[in-house]
Amino acid sequence: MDLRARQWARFRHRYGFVLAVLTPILLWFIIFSFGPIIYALWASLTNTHTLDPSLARFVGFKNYISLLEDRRFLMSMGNVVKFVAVKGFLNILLSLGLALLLERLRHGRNVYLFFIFMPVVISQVAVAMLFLWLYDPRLGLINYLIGLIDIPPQSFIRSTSQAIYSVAVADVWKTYGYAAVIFLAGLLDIPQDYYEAAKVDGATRLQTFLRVTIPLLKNALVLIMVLIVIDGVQHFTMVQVMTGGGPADSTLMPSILVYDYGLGANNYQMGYASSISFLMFVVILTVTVLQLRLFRSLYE
Amino acid sequence: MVTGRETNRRSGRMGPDAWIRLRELLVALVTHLILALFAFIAFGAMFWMVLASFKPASEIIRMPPTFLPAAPSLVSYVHILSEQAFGRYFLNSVLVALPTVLLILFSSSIAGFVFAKFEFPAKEIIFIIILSTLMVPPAVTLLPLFRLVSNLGWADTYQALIIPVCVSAFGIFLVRQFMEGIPSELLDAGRIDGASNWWIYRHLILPLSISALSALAIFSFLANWDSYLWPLVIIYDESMRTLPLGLAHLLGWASRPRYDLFLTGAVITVVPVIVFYSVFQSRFVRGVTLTGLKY
Repeated sequence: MDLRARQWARFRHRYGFVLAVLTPILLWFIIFSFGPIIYALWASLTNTHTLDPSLARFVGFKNYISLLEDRRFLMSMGNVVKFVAVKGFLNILLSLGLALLLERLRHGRNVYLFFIFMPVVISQVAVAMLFLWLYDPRLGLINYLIGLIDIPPQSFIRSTSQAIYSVAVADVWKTYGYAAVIFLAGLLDIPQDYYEAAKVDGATRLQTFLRVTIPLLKNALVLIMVLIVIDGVQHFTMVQVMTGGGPADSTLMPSILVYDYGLGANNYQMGYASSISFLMFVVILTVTVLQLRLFRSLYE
Repeated sequence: MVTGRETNRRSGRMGPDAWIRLRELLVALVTHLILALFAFIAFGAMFWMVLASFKPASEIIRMPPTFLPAAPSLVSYVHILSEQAFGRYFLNSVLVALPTVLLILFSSSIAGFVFAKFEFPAKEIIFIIILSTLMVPPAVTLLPLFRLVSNLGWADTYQALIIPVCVSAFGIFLVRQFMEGIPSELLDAGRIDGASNWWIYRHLILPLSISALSALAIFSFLANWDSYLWPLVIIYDESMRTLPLGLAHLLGWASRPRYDLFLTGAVITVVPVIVFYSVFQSRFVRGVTLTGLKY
């Protein structure tokens, strides 16, 4: 056996399995992940048409500059802020509250969790259908119930001022069980000694909560907040099904705009739509890093 | 509370002890009431939806709303399965979800094995590049993938719904994390006995990774069953719709909202998931903590 053959045999012995596994996996990532990401970045710098790439021209940052004057895009970013604010507040309030209650239980914790977690597992489109019905101004249960206590009927998702909040509430109903499970796991991880020590030091309940519980729940809190922001920026399904971004763009989300500009009839502006999707990426990246930093400086 | 009771027991007085026990009972009662209310809000809405699917259209639009169906009927189911092709949509959803989940499990477990238990050049860099794709919103790859998959001639096919989602960066990450906890000595023992890497994967690594893989199976199944944006983009043919697509198309089907059909379609979409969830509930909840807290 000559040297090269021996080297080859050793190489195969050492890396054969790794290569056999990673080659197809990496090929998949190149074709269906890295490739499309880089392609989208390139497309965002051109005026390419979704269905006909032959006329694509390089336009530099023109798409990004136009975005800053695009009323619909600015509106969608404003909607994300409202959506995330409402969802973040309600979601954390409810899930942390429930987790604190569940933690004190000695019996029946799993029974409650079973029901509270159930909306997390069901399809978003089905939840959207359910809430379309509940929110119906004339036939919906919610207007019927608030009518019983003499509140006039609301138009919810059909009103430009209420739609985004109504959609966020529906989303909270579906998602807070997930956060509750995360918080509960975090709470159960806190050693009982810490609470005893706080008590010995004469801390009030509120002080114990703010000085012991919250700092020790830091990881869970950061995780949930980051997830809520990422979800909010990327949100598509429930809003698309419930309102399609309307009325009058009042629930328009960036993802819906990407879909609309990129694949909507009369649009097919792949270049322009790609610049929106890339800005979403930048926003997600920035917010995630900022949130992680902020929390680190607050509690360490 | 616990310490309070202990002090009182030590002091041996009955009065305050009874008070404290009463207070404890009240606190427990209120806790249970609040939790029951939330459980009811979560479950009640869904239960009411299931009940509504057995009401004819005329009863759904009646005010005030009825809770139990006045005259239970299957008319909505008949309509949705005969005039709408929900049987076909269901089949499509199954035929997409099952292979996708199996492929994700296979690719994640074998790649996770390689990243956890082998040394090779540029390992960490490759891993971090794969992991970083998790930060990229699906909207970024949507249009390039649409162009790619259309050019492959895959529009309106099952492979269009399976192949672009059959490898999961998150799955690889999760499985690697988990497999790093499996002692390497175990694998070395197998190697000394002359076992191939493939054998070790099949007979040592896979059985030891069941808890991570079942969590991954649950979440990738849910994500796939729920998938809406990508099918919306790449499926035009009615006979290729999955359940979420078929459900969303009901919206534009009639001029006024047909809640009887919306809700029946939604029930057909969620019932398999709820059944699955009811059987494996503890695994679902454990899966959240396993996948979430290790981010």
